[in-house]
Amino acid sequence: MTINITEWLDKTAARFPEGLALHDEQEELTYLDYRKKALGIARSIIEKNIRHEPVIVYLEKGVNIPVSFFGIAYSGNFYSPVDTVLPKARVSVMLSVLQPKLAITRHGLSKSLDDAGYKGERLFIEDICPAEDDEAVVTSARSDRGEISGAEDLLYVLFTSGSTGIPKGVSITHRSVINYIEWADSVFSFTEHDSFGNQAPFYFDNSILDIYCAAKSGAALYIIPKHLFAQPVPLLSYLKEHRITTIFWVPSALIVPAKLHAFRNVDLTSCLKRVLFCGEVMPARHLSRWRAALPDVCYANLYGPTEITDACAYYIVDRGFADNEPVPIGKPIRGVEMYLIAEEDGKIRRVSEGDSGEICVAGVCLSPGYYHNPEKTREVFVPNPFGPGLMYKTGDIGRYNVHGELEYISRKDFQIKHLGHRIELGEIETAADSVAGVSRSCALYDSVRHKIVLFAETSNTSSFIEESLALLLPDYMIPNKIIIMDEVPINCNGKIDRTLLQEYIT
Amino acid sequence: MSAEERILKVLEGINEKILTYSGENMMEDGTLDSFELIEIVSQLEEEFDIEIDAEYAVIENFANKETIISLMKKLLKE
Repeated sequence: MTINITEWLDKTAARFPEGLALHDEQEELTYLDYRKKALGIARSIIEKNIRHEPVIVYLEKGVNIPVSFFGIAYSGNFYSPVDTVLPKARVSVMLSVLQPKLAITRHGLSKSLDDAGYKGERLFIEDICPAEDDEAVVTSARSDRGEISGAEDLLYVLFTSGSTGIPKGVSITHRSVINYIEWADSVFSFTEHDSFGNQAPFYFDNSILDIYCAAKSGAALYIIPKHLFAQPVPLLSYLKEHRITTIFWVPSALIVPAKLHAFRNVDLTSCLKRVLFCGEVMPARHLSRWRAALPDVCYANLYGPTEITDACAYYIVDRGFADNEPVPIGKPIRGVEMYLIAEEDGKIRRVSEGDSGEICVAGVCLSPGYYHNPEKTREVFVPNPFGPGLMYKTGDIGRYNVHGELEYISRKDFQIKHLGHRIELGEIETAADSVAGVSRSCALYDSVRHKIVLFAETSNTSSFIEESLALLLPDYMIPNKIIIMDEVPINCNGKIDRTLLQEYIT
Repeated sequence: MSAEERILKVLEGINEKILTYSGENMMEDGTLDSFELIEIVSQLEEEFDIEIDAEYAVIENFANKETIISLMKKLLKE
């Protein structure tokens, strides 16, 4: 039984030492090199006598990020990737949650870390030598770590949007990732002949399937350059050129080639085998275009928030859907229980068959909670009234269809998915309210045009608000449209009239 | 209304920032996202009753309003 994800890299590097492991625009690594580099990182961390600690990875997207993840895991610590293009203010908040003692970065990015207020030690990726005597490093690290190398230890902390303006760090254990990857491998049967075409940023949990399924099976992981995702023909040509067999993308990325009929220009029938998607609703009409162009491919819709290790439910597409039909999220993966619940007078009950309810999840996939945030953890990780342990209240509303498959309906709060990113509209409002001269604001989502719209009560200009928000929020959270109002409308309860404003944008 | 004015009107309706954008790559700068690219293509197809092949959906053609106008002029001539 696997208890630490590093065992996959050990075995794969032994089986396929010269097999291609990682590829980006600048570099390629074989499995042997991948492991040696990871061990070199592990050794450097171990030499600093850092254990059980979060180590941040502050690097641009490329092969060095998965290498760092494995290096940190080998060292008995856990990783937290931080996007290098985030505003300093946001990095600073993440650092205050994590309190990391060590960062893996490169010399050219070190000043940005200083600017965000980072005071801990740094390992520079350029200075780390691959560990030649790797077995000794692993053996010594593992024996030193003793009980901390167990499956219950944390593997990573990923940040998600928080409604109060403070992003939440979701902790995930080796055990949860092992369960998820072993499930994915059993369903999709990846081998060393496969190639993954990675779209997900490494700070987004969709990427764990790419990284760890590849490392477990010996498949190659191609990190697709971001700029290709807006250029459907070069994107599909990239997949063809590198003989990519598997893609796990957010629907936003799949929609572009479908909508622009790029399949007419590039034929992928001889290479692509699996198209998996997760992170937001996949519109049936675009799925139909993919299926019409590539009918022999296996399509699967995965569902799950970061708190349950990327995905806890799946549906393998086995039929066509009308344009207005929802694509189901299917059934729970191995080791997972899912319930649809309603709450009345503080009591939780399961809803009747066919009724909609909040999706709750229990099982091995569950996060131990938000890092250093017991209050938020208690709000959504509650005692499971239907079985042992805790269950996670997703805030998503779902129901079972006539085929007995779970369908996602909507959110019960103000969380949205925009370009695959999970965003609390409250976080945008908190940021907007903090801008000088803004007395009130309301962020809404125009789901038809895929735009975030911010209404702000202020005498400032929209460009001033936008520039101010760019210092506080990641790019994808910046409103696409800012509407300045003399007075934001208020309803009879004295709250911002969101319904009226929603009507205004639709 | 000239072809150029019609193109600008379409762009303004989708994202008014395109009209004032003065950089060299509005997709990389984050001014234009992939959904807006799709919207631009669809609406220009409708406005001019033409089909824009997916091969034209590359950054060079959607770098700023001038490159979009010059792409459209080329397609309208064909």
